[in-house]
Amino acid sequence: MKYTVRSVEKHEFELPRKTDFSSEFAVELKGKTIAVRILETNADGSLRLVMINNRVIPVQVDRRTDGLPERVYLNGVSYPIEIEKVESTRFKAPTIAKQASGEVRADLPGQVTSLFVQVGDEVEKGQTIGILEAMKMENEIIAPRNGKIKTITVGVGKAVMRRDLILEIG
Amino acid sequence: MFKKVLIANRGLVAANCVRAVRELGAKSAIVYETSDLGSAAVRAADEALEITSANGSTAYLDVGSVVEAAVRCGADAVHPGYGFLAKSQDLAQRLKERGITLIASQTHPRAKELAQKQGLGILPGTAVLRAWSEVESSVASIGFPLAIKAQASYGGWGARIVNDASELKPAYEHVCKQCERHGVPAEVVLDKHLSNAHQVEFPVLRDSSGRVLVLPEVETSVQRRFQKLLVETPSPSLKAALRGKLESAIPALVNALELVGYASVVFQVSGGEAYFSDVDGSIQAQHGATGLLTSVNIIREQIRVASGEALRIQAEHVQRKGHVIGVFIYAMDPYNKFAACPGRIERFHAPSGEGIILHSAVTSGDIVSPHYDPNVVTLLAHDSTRDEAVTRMRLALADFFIDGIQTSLPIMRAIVDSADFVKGEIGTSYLFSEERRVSLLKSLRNSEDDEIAALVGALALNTDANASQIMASAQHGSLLWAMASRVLNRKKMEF
Repeated sequence: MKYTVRSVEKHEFELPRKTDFSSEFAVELKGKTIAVRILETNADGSLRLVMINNRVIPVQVDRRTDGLPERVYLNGVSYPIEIEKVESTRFKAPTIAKQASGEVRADLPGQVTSLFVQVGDEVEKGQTIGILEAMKMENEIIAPRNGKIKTITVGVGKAVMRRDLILEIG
Repeated sequence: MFKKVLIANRGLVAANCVRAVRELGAKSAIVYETSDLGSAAVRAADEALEITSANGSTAYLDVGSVVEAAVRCGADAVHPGYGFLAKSQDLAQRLKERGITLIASQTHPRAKELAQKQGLGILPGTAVLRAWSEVESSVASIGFPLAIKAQASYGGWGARIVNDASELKPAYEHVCKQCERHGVPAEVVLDKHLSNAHQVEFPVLRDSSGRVLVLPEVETSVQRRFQKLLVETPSPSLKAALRGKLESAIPALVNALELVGYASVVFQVSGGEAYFSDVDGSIQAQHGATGLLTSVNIIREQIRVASGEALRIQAEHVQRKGHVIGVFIYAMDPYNKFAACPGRIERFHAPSGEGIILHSAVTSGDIVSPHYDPNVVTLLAHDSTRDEAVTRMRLALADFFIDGIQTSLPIMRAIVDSADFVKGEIGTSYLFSEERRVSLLKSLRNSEDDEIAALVGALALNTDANASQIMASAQHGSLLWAMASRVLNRKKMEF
């Protein structure tokens, strides 16, 4: 099956037409042949250790909510992943993925020590909108998507538990 | 020697203190909060005492609980480790009243003044300030940029750089709030801040008779928000003449301070000049690096001197063997703006072998708690020359794999690989900007691995984990759905 996948660069290659990848197989990429083996998987079946051309690499794959891989770590180094095409079918991220939730929740227990936005402010995805102090560090609270601040549930100085709603982007 | 030493700390530093106490032949006791019950330090100690906090914050900051535990177990000394109550004058006083020694030197209120008398350069700064009015009126004599630091600060919290007058009050209020969270009085010190200086620290031991031992300096410039990420000894940046000048001034300084025990004398070096910054009396995270270089076990010597023993090591007998680099790995995600990442460690594949030392109190399956600092392990690399030590550390870091939690390993690899580090030119502002973080992380990628990542991504689509998730959310009948269905039903397919 032909794949077009963009990590930093765009790559086109062909995986064998099968569903069981537990034994060694070959992949054609840019005119060269790559020998691939899946050495270990996690309990849930996700990839854990692979061998590419005789090189053993611990891996981790982060998936979006719709199941498509969005990040691959090779020995801890992160690469973004976008599956652009499978065979001749194009995948466009916005039509497949649900838009990221506008709920901003605490990743860990701590205290909200700063908020840089107010209700009604426009924010951009990736923007730092506040500080959550935890583990003796100032952790940046980051907007998961573009939008407007709809509600602020937790004010500055409040302690939060993990998963507590801090604010919502509409 | 003390009969029994109570360690009032947790994690890696506590494990090192327990080991030092046991090596000296004394009994070790340790306090713990419930979640630390199964930890390495608690298992290693001869005796473990549970403590709980009176207020909302951690019991490790509760002076009353620690004092009560010390009395209860009959300890004649308490080692507070690093951070927590190490600088607590309240703890020192209350233990002294009960005839128990605190193994940590307290901050001397006139340290800067005495340093200046010894001919050492100092930066404009204040004594301890306790009110906003005092802070406001001190600024004129210091100028910007300045650093505002809580007296009790350590390892990254409680310190802020202030670039102009408009930032001063918010920074002061922020630091005060942090003091409140840590259960310490809101006492701060202001100092002129030298951007991108080299931070160099001299470990010093002094006994009650005045014998002084100054150990080789440690370069601690690689920091992020005052949190040390990498240390090395000796310093690659300190010029010989300046080193000589500082080494000869330090004994008189610690004599004037009447230091008994261990302290780290800290300098900011900039423009060829060294400025005295601090005398930090708590054991520093980099003690292992000095130990590897010189074979002097700082924690053991600190405990010996505190128990009244004479300092038997003489400067002439201290060897400096080669070069040591020490990297501190934290549970934070450099890919997500260094967000803290507590959780359970899954795989923990640490490097080992010739010239590699791991200080770790955790292994696979252990939990990094969200309630304490994010320090996970310290990795040391020792070799005959700096170049060889850099290579050794670079390779060791590339072999180090931790998952289950995100760690600072990737950014540490990028720093050690960088030309700036190899040249020994990194100053305290190196990791200040977002741009730097992003470019360091980018430097880890290469085009060969880029292909492999794409391949792994496509392969992942064909795993059960992905397939289940896809089937749950993809449109029925779509190509994605069909692919996922094939994967999950492969046992039923015929070839």
